[in-house]
Amino acid sequence: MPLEGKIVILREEQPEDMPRLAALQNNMETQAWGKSLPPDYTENMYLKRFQDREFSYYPKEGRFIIVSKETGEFAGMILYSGLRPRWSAMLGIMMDKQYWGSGYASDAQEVLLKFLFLELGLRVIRIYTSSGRTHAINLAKKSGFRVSAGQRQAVFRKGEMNDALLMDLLREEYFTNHPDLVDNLPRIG
Amino acid sequence: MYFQTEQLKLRPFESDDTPALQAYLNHPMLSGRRYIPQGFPEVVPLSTQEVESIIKKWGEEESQAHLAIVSSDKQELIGHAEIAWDWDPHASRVSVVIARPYQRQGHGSQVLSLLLEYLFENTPAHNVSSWMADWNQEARAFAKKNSFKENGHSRREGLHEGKYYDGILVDILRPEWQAIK
Repeated sequence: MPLEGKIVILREEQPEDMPRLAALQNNMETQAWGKSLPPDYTENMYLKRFQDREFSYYPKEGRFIIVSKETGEFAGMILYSGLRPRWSAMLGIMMDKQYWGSGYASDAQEVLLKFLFLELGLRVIRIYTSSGRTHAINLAKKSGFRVSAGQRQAVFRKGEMNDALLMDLLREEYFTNHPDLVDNLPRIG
Repeated sequence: MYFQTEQLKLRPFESDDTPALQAYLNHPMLSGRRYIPQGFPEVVPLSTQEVESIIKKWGEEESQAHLAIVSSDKQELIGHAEIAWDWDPHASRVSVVIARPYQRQGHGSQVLSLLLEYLFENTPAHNVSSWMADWNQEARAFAKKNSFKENGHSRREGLHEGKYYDGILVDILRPEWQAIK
């Protein structure tokens, strides 16, 4: 059963998603990476990565396609990576530009955070971005993330120097922001 | 000369470094600050096999160099150093670990100086950074003494003595290094 939010569904990747993922990567506005990547990624590269993914009961990452609940259309992708079990993971998101400002990204982020905190029992979620990416920063802040560290002038893209930013959200902060949810995981530290 | 001073030199690790590396990594004072590859224990004593695997992994890492720090006089292994440019050579990373008996003798500063000289004179590095636990006051003081600036905390990096700790980000920019060189 896919993860479901108010207006989006997060489902597993399928081979037919590969052209859309390549297109997201090849759009300099939507590719979400610490440095600019050449817009030459192909459907076959994505298909190979998809096919190379192996079965595991101990996955270090989870990748999801964001689809509109209303239309079923592909809207973007969201992932967590670098999982430290019961501790932390990094979150990343790429949205088709036509869905910017639609609330889909925010809803998808909330759905994934709920999974990470309630199902995986993580203590902190991190997002790496840069000071030039105001969309990404604002989206993260919407879910309660805050900038906790900034590596000065570490990112060069679009002809400009920006700080590489680390944003994080603690488990307790998440539950404070969601009074309807109860945290039954015993506290440590 | 790169990678060498009168007192020490940096060279690649060899398999016969295993006993000396294992001995100093397992010193209680290096617990939690070993700077070894992810997946290897930072606190639990390391076996010979694990230390062999660490040396092997260091040798295989792409976009990174892991160097043995050796005293010039006795050719003893006194620590290890890392330079890395994982995702972008514009923003590199360094770390220096000195074995307990050789600390507070200026070796760390000499090594860091060699690493920065290499990075800023041979690569396009503009920012060189490092991370350390907030409880590691010696490392924070060392970074500050060597003109690195603290630029925030990665909250809740782990547990230390029963409490959460943060990772501290420190960095130095090429113009800052040039000004103090």
